[in-house]
Amino acid sequence: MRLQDKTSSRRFFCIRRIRSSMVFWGVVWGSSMALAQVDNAMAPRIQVGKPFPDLSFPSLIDGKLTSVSAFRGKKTILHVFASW
Amino acid sequence: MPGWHKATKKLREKGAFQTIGIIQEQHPDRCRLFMQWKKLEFPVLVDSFNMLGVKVVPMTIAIDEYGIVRHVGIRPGDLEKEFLSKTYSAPGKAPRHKPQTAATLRKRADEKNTSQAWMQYADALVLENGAKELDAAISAYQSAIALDRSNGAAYFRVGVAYRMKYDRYNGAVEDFRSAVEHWGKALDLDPNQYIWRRRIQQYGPRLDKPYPFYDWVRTARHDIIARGEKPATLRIEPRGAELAQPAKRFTTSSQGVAEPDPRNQIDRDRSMVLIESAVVPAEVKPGGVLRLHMTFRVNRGEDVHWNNESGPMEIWIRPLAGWKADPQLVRPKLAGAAQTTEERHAELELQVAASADPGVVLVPGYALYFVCRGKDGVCLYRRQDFIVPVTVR
Repeated sequence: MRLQDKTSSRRFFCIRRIRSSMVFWGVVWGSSMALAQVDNAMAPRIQVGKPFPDLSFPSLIDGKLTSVSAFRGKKTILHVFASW
Repeated sequence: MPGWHKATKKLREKGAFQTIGIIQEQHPDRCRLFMQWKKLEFPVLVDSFNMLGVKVVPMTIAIDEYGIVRHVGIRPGDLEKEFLSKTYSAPGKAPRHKPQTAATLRKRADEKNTSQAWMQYADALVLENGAKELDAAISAYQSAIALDRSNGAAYFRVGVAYRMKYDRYNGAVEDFRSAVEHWGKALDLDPNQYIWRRRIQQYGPRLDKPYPFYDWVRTARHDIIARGEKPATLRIEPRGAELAQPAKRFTTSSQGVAEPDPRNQIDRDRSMVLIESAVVPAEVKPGGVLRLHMTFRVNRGEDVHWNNESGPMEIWIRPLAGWKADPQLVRPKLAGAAQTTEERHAELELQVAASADPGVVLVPGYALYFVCRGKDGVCLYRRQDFIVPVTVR
């Protein structure tokens, strides 16, 4: 668990660097606005206030094509991740 | 991500939300082992081709009951206040997107002949058929590239398809080389795409690695067995670069290591062993570092076997002036049995001379090995010279 937490902080390094460079260059956005901008650049297909892209992917368990929209009806936390 | 999951355990157990995952790695079976190890039990979807288009992981997204994205990058501490306690209303009826079959999209691609249409056809092919239609998908992605040379995603996905082909089928090294080449072109088009970058780094030099990638596999198996469970099996065992620890500077451990055949006395082998190589990244700047992957295969058509009893196999690289190799001498681990026919692998790293001119540079080396022709047949000690082409940009 510790190892994983350590690596995930390294992974966020690039985001932090972009955020801090924005501050450095004196970009005149409110902080939440700046954050939204960065996140959007990191996931251009995923936009706050818009439906999650209606894409289907094979399921890890059985390979069956499944869409994220199949999980509608309950509040959902979606982790986009990798085992490294 | 496991940290996030743990921090929100109480809320999750109350049933306040459901969890799903989308993974962004080349080998989903490794993620299955990871989930088992960390006791993560939510449904996971596999996006090896990065069709979701995210540029970093991990990314945690909050989606309301109507399928609307409410937060990107939400923190565990904000979950209740910023998401779970909020009431969202149903949006106006959005037209539901009807998924189209590969066959329909093929027709459309033929008619429209746009980069986007060929992409959509190729995506549908890999989603519908997994690894079964890789050649067709590769050619469709290539059509997308031919119509738009700035289509980075198409380059990346061709690379994923080539590596998948390499892993699933004959292990042809040229497929691995094509994967690395295409990933490099994709990254040139978008250097901020960290999912694409990670795919190269997984096989690349230690200097370029942010973390080891798959060194956790050993610990995971150990822990799972200790719990009395059977670890999920991996189709392709991680090796070499995929396990190597990152390094901060290039060092060579080969100072003073003696060359195994300095006087060039060992007889040459011309047909018993096939040697192939791939370099990662596909192109390197002067002064840069690359990782060399070498594959050695016995010629089964001539009934050749490795002889594992007579001595080590040795691979020697002779770096050019100003270049460095680490290590300069590699001794791959031999199989336990007396005679075997497995594919052997060796990896080493090369630092290009700072003064190197752009172009293809040929790095020489040779391998020494014991082989036998026919079971219980004649066994020989042989040398084979090789040349590794390295593209300096």
